[in-house]
Amino acid sequence: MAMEPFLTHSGRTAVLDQPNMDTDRIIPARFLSRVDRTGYGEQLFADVRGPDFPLDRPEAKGASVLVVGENFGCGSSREHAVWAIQQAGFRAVIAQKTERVTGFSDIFRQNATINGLLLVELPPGEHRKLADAGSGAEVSIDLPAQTVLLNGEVMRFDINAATKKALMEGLDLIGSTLQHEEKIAAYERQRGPWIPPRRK
Amino acid sequence: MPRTLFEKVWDQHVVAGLPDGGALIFIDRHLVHEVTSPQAFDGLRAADRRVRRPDLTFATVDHNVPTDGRAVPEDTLSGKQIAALQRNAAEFDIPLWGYLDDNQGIVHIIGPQLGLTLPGLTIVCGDSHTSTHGAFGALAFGIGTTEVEHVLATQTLRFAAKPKTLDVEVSGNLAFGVTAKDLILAIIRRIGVAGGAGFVVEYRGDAIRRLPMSARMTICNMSAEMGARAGMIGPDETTIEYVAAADRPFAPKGTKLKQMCDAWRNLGTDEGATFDSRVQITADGLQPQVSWGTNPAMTVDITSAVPDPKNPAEERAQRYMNIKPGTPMQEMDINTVFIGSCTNSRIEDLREAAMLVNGRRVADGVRALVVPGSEAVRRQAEQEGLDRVFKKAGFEWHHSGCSMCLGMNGDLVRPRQRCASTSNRPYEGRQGPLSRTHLVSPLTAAASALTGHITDPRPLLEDSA
Ligand code: SF4
Repeated sequence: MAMEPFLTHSGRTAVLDQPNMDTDRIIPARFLSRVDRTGYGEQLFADVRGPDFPLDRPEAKGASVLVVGENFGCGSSREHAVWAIQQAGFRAVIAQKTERVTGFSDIFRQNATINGLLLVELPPGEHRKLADAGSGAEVSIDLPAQTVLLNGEVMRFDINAATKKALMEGLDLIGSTLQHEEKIAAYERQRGPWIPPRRK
Repeated sequence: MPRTLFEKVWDQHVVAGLPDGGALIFIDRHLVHEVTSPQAFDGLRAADRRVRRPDLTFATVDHNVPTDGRAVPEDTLSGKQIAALQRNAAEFDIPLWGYLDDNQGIVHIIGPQLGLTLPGLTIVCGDSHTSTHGAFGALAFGIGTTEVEHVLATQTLRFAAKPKTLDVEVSGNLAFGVTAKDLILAIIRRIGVAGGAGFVVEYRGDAIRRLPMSARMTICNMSAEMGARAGMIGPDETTIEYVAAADRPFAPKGTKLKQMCDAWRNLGTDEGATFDSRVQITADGLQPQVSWGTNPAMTVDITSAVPDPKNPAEERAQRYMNIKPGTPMQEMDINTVFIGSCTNSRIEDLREAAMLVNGRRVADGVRALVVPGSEAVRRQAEQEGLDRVFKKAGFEWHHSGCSMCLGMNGDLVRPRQRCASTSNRPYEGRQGPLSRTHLVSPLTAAASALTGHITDPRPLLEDSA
């Protein structure tokens, strides 16, 4: 399935500046029993919502850029976490990254990229500006230029080149991989001994 | 050039380089379960694609199956999800170990048990604790649902970059009553819940070499809790003995096994190979560990007290857990005990817990469950009489599944109740809305069930001996 390409996006932020937000909190396990890919937006952060929850405050209404703490999306591999974020209206997530701690967990990062959700990592100083600006701040993200614009200030971010390309082109990754069909088939031919006996 | 275990397995599986330094990696085993697969099969159907290698794909139901032996209610969402996997497995010709099937179990318990998990393989599953299989020297990691679809269709995975390597070297000896669970909790406490992100961890050193496979699986299982995508342990004679056991239907046998063993003996990290990062830790003097907070790094020695919170996240965790700095961990009353999950539900875990429980009683007001990791573990335990030891003491004895580890199947810790759990994630709401989880070893869980509060198992163990 091809995803929607990501080039630029302008929108308002919702700030949820907590570290180590695990995917159980992003979407609790009891919502994972369905067999569909849609309908998860309502369940985003289901167990922590309420009038005081940052995303439920009036200023966060209609936000499309989620600003979070470090190591966001850790824990379970559930892709439902990414689906819930997208289906709640978000196009990008901005996290804090330090020398020691990553902005996003590995599997979440993979799931996000494959679904066309842009993940931006900013160093603590710039991340702080976004967090301090609070929910409702206008930002513009330019993926080709790798910049986030906030109140006239341009912040640059790093991104893996392959990830950037996949996001910008909205590639059908299975289709791209199958272009390597010959190499996969050649690999399989020499992998014989590793195949388990066939039984049911 | 000397290489690490990870680099050897990686190099053997590169099918093609991808632009910008990525790689296409071949996948030897794909384990599938009911929760993260239905959308992947739908995707295949929508694109009119087939499962490329049904012979390398294996399915079971574990996350939301009942564990009390009752029929799966067909009209519930869980029932429909289980039925969807049955249909998908039949349509795409994938073997499925269904509900109450002899070989059913938590996917990370049955892979090794059936001989699907072998040294040097790449193994994936739509589940972060796929890292468990790394205990055999396999490169095993969790993937999301779209990647599940990608592996079904292509038997490969795309990596945007090659992971970095982290060497965790453990010296010394685990003392009496201190287990692999305590060791991995101590490692996570040291490295932090994000410290492993971007890395494949290799556990090395004397302390690891001395561990049996069950304990090595407990260690690699919780690599996920450091944020690492995979954890590995180099194969040795302990590994080979496990794989060569008689009751592993999918493992190689005879000359084929012999040839493979020769390859496995050369798979370990070469002398002089370098890692991107390194941590050294000693098992000497390690105490049983218990988590106090809402992530696995919020952990202390069982003999100590709730620490002062160091930041807003820790303050929030203490509020959620309803605990105060300075309270000794062992004074914390519990309502629930869960012995199970892919971290600690192998036969060895149940034997340890049963040894301590034997002849004693679960404290009044405590609900205590034992949920074997697979139906085979359950049968083995029943043959050894462990079920009777547990039941006589007042424990519930269940069928296998993920159960209260994530509470999808109705086995829930009730709101605001406190649970001593042998699982791996003490997250807010993980075991049920507003549940409060303390991660412990099977020994500590058993001891806590008997007293009704978090309890150091060592004095009780000495009395049992
Ligand atoms: S036992 Fe728990 S951690 Fe393991 S696979 Fe099941 S839900 Fe995941």
